[in-house]
Amino acid sequence: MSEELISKKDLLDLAGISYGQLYRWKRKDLIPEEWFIRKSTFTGQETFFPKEKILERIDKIQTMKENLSLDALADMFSPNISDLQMEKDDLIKRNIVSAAVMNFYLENDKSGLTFHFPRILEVYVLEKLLQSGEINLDEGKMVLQVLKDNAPLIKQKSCELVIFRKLGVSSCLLLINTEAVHFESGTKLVVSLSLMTCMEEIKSKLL
Amino acid sequence: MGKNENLIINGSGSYPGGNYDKVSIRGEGTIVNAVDCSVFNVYGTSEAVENATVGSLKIIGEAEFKENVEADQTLVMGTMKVDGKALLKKVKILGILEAGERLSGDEATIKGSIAVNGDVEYETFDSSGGFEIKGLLTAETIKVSLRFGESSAEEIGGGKITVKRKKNSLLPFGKEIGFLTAKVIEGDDIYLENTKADIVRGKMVKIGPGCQIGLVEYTNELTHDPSATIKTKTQL
Repeated sequence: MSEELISKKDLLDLAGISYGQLYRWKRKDLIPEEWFIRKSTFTGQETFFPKEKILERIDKIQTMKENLSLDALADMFSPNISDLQMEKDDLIKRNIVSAAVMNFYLENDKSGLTFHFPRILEVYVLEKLLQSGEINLDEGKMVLQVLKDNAPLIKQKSCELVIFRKLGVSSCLLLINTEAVHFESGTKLVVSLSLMTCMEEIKSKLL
Repeated sequence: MGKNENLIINGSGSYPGGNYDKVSIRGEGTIVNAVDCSVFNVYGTSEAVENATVGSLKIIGEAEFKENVEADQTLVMGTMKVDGKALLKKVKILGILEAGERLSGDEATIKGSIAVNGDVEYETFDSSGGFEIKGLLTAETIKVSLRFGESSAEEIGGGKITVKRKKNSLLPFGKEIGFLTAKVIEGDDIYLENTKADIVRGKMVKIGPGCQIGLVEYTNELTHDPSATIKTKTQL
């Protein structure tokens, strides 16, 4: 998971933005503090960014800022939208979840048909993994359990969900602010999913 | 809010927090819990042990906040100290402000001095006093008038950055001049005087008199005063 970095001046050049814009977006929390990586180079101090993430984010900001204010964008990128609530049918209608996955989720979670954000995330993650055929229903239950047990952590940290199998036995774990994971060679990594990205995907579907 | 009561401390005492309309402290007062009020005036000495959310904050005396502060309007004529984060939307400092973590808001006017251990984030930042910022100073427009003493920030970044030296109007014959130091200054439109910086990066960069710059990286244009020293210049 080690990422390619891009220096600030290369980034400005590549994305065609100005210092003013970059700092404005930073002030509005559109670009998270952790992405500013300060390093000393032979010319002096220089700031670097994780290349893929920052380019994707800038692209999103630029395409969306025409329709939305910066504050609305900030709400969208911030991982904790707390007061959002949706009904089961709404989620299906907006193509966030398919009816089949929703039924499976409701079999395992009987806390009602109104979804607040953590539950939307859970059901969305299931949808993604089950629809792509990467996991089966039993593994789905396991994933759900992990997400539920660690719900408070997921809200505020950048988490990654990792599912792996060895000799047909599967397990999953949740990584928090990790740089890299390495498995023994007999283990097959089934999927590694960033929950932060999932949250953003959900939010962009909601808007 | 609306029909909340006032908390007036004349003399000394320790009071609970909660919702108030107006809080006024003339003697020495401590508020032990989180407090939410529309007006908070301190003429004496005050201490807020937990978070404070205020509409209009006015400090003529001395105020200490042990946790975070949020205020729409702030005027500091005395001394204000915040241990946590300070979100002061519109702030005017004639006295001293110290912040332990980040200081942020929309509009800052500094005529006294500020000392901040974290970052300072504003839309417009106008200082004719002094500042010591351990983190990044960022604003859309940064205007610094150097009158006396040394102002410093680890990094300065924004759209338009102007640093000018000003004659001290009170002591016109005083020899003392102000200086600004920063490791990195980055902006689209930069004008500097009396500034020491390792690196200056920008689109339009003007280096005025009294500057000592290690490296200037510019994209469009660089002009510099003959009395300024610049070790390396690179056009990108």
